[in-house]
Amino acid sequence: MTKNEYMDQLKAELKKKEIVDVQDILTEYEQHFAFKLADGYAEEEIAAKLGQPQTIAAQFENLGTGKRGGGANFAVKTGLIFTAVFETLFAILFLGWDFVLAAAALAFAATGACLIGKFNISGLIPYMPYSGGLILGISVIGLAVFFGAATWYCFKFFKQMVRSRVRWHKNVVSRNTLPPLPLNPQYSSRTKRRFRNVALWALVVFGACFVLACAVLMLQAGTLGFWHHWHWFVK
Amino acid sequence: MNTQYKKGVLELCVLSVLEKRDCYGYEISEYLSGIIDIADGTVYPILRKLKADGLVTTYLSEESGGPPRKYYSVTELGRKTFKEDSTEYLGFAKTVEKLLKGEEQ
Repeated sequence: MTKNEYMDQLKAELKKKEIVDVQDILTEYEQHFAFKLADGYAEEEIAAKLGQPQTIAAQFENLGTGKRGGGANFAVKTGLIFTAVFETLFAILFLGWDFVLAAAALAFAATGACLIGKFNISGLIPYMPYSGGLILGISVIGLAVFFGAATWYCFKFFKQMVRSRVRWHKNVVSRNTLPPLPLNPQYSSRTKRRFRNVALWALVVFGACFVLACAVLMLQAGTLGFWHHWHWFVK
Repeated sequence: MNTQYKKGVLELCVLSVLEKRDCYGYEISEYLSGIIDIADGTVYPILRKLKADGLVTTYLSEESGGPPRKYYSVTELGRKTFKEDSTEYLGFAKTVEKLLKGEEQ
């Protein structure tokens, strides 16, 4: 085997085994040839003494960083598939939960808008004086904002969770290990503070306005059970 | 000889060469293949493994006329590992020698 033939075979074998830094390895062998040639050996002789390219390439396997093992074997892959199935089911469930949150947020927002804008679509909203209704509307809008924030966070969490798990799976299967990703989304302290403020204020507005709305409605009805006074739950 | 077994001992041999002075890959390959029956090409994977394990480091050194040579130098961890492993190996080898010669009871 000539030098070029040997180097080509070695390169092909190293590539086949997905060994990193192939060029670095090839340089060592190029230099080996160069030294030996300078000492007067023939290319064929040098190649023969080096050992078969397949054998040499095999010796470079599994020493990427010295820590990680080889590629995933069959058992590991089977395990990964099972894990992936459960993870997918969980992800679907989680996304479903997020849809529920989004639906709740939309429903509250719509109710709030109807109360404030005095729209009563096919008489779904029972009678109440507008002053009380307005405050109740603001309260419900607060709840909508709170649910909206929850929806947003859950969706971000879902996305990050999926990315993190995909990265983990890739790392187990392949040898080119990438840094693992955190499971929950990472935000700057400023974003976190803002998010917390929005959620907290939304909740405060909801609570305060709800209590106030009830008080106003009680006063207007002249009784604690204002819903009886206006026959709310009676058909 | 069992190659897997030989491989572990060869790592120790390479470390013992580098423990005395820094060498480039070809030097080690030439030296070891001269005294032990191994293919010339086997030293390079060992050097790479030692580097990956943090036992040796490399640096490039310009030589007069010719491409820069990659020198291997043993690290602190490499020195420590060599000391421990060689003591362990020598003790083991002594026992095996006795055993094989039938001296051990």
